[in-house]
Amino acid sequence: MAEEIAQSNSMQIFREAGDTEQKIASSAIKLIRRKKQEPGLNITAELTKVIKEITP
Amino acid sequence: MILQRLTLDNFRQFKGNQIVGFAQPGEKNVTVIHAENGFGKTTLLNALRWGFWGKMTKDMMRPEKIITECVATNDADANNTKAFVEIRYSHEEEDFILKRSITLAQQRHDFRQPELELHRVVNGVPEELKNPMALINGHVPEAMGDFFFFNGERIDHLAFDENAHQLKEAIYNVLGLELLENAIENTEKSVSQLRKELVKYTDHNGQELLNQSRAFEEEIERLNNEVKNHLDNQKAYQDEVQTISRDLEANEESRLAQLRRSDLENTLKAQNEALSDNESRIKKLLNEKAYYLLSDRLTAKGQETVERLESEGILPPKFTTTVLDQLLESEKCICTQELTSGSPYRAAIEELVSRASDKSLDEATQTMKTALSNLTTGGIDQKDDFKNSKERIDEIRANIGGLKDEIREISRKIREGDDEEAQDLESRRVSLTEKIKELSIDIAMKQNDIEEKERQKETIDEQATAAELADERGQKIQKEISAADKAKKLMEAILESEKEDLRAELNTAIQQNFSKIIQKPDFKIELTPDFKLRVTKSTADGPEDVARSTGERQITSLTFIASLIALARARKNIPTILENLWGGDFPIVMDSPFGTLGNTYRGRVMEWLPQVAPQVTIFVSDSQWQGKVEEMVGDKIGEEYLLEYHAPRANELAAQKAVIRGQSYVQFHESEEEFTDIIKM
Repeated sequence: MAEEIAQSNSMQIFREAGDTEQKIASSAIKLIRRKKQEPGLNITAELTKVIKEITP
Repeated sequence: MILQRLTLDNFRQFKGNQIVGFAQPGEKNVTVIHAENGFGKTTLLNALRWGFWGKMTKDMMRPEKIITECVATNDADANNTKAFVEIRYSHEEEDFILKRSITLAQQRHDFRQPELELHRVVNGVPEELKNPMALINGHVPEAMGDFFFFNGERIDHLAFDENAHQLKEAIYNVLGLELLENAIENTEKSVSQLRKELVKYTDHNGQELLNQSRAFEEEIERLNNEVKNHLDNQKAYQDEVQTISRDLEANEESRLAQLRRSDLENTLKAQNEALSDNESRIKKLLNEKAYYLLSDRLTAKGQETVERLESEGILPPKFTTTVLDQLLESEKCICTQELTSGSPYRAAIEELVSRASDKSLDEATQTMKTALSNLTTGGIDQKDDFKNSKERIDEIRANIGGLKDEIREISRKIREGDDEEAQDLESRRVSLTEKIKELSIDIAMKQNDIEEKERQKETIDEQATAAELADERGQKIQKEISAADKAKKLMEAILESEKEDLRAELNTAIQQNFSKIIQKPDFKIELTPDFKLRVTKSTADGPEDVARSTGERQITSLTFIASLIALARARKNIPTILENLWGGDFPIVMDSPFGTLGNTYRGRVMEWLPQVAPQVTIFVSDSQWQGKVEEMVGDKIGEEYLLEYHAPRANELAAQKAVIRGQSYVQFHESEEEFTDIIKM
């Protein structure tokens, strides 16, 4: 039941979004995860860099 | 995170080097530590807290005395006399060794600055890690301390509405939603940075808008920080009020009054919740069906007009042409008169049909009359509903007034009583309660202010981003801001969706687990969308909020914690946008796990808990152990210990011997020095 819900809700929301937004969102989440292993990571600076690279 | 081993070295009353090994997940996943009150249970619980976060609970006396007193003597070598806590644990299939230590010299200088090392064990070899505190908080956040390592007698506070934000924080942390929250926050920071860059490429108006946006941002941040400080202060005051309440209960003079007040306050909470529900119901009624309540005169006027128009022959008569056509076809009137061709009776009916005009007017008239009739009936029903809700609200308000009067009277009696200690405690309690109330008001005002400023900022940001720029670099930055903003909104929508899905899952788990312990079929528990734990009882008039006893609130809180931990285990199997998300395994370590629960409830808790949580550790006194607990836990014990207390004299209420599975064990020894030994059984 949980699987069906999650598949139909949040993943659907993600799939329906534009390509650029999907990439930025995924990158933001990956950077947050990286921070747990690399506490010194400057997420804002890294994410801003990523946004600039991704945005056409 | 699963505990493997705890090593204490001269930590508080645990003299020398002492070890506790924890039962691992599986069939025998329970660790039992037998100990009377005052023999070191709370200290052992705090060893874990101090190890992980360098802090102990507020009820630990003299927190600055970390090193065993008989070791930290005046003539001890301050630089070589030390205490440490070492915790071995696993997290996401990796093993870690944490060690927190303090020398006597450091303790004298500042006991809050112990040293910390963290090693990851790779192929049996420990490798030291940098930034240990940040990593440890990633494995087991300090905010989760109350949910993993707690005193069962004090856990009931989680069931109060005012602690809903703690429950929300726990859910976000344990189930990975915090990742999304942080991602949203950091995307907002990136957007902010990009807006600062944009200033260079905008005209004067654009710069003005961006400056206003930045000013709003700073103001919102300032307000958020103030709200956070207020919430932290509120929690500290609430903890102190709880401590005072326990002290008043322990005081001979004020005990009965305080117990009565506790009952009244529980009932008051339930009444406030019922009031809130009924007010919401009326609001919903007014939003959705106000027209029923306000249109009765208009409806009556409408019906009057229709009847008048029918009698004047302007509207079709009460019967439709369809009926008349059927009569003509059957050649028989409803009065049984024959309607054969050429008869005057048939001619009269045919004349009516010609006057009845077309079907569409018939249908329209019938539809209108049906609608008017429904409005009249519906209006009566809604008015009754509204009246009943209003009467119920008035009744509840009267109850609340009565309860508050009685509570105020109890406070007055304690303050004017003969016992000075009780008077001082009560005065302090009153003062703290006032402060808590003032903070609540200020928090609500600030939150409204924040919402308003966020709305204004959003409008300005849209204007700034939409402004036409000549410079290509400026245009690129506008696109970047727009893309990042959309990404932020996307993550917010996902967070909302996942939060609601997980809340529903957790709600189901909580209901199932609650019913296993409480076993009252008409009682229902719910984790509301705003993270409050509500218990209702089915009645003829619908669900009614229940004033829960301390024991029932303990069970409510415990059910929440265990259900959350069980869902965390299953989290990795629930598909989510957060790839490879590991909710994780978390332990439950409980001192005095049963609080005020009776034998039957204790048995049910211990039958159920090891099934839902991967690792359970309980610290129990002899009286808590005997009976159902021993019966239920027996075959699930993976590790078992006894705390042997040495001191000049023991607490009078503490049993000197523990009886475990029919065998008697001495747990108190007379000694000049005070210390505790951990004995493996």
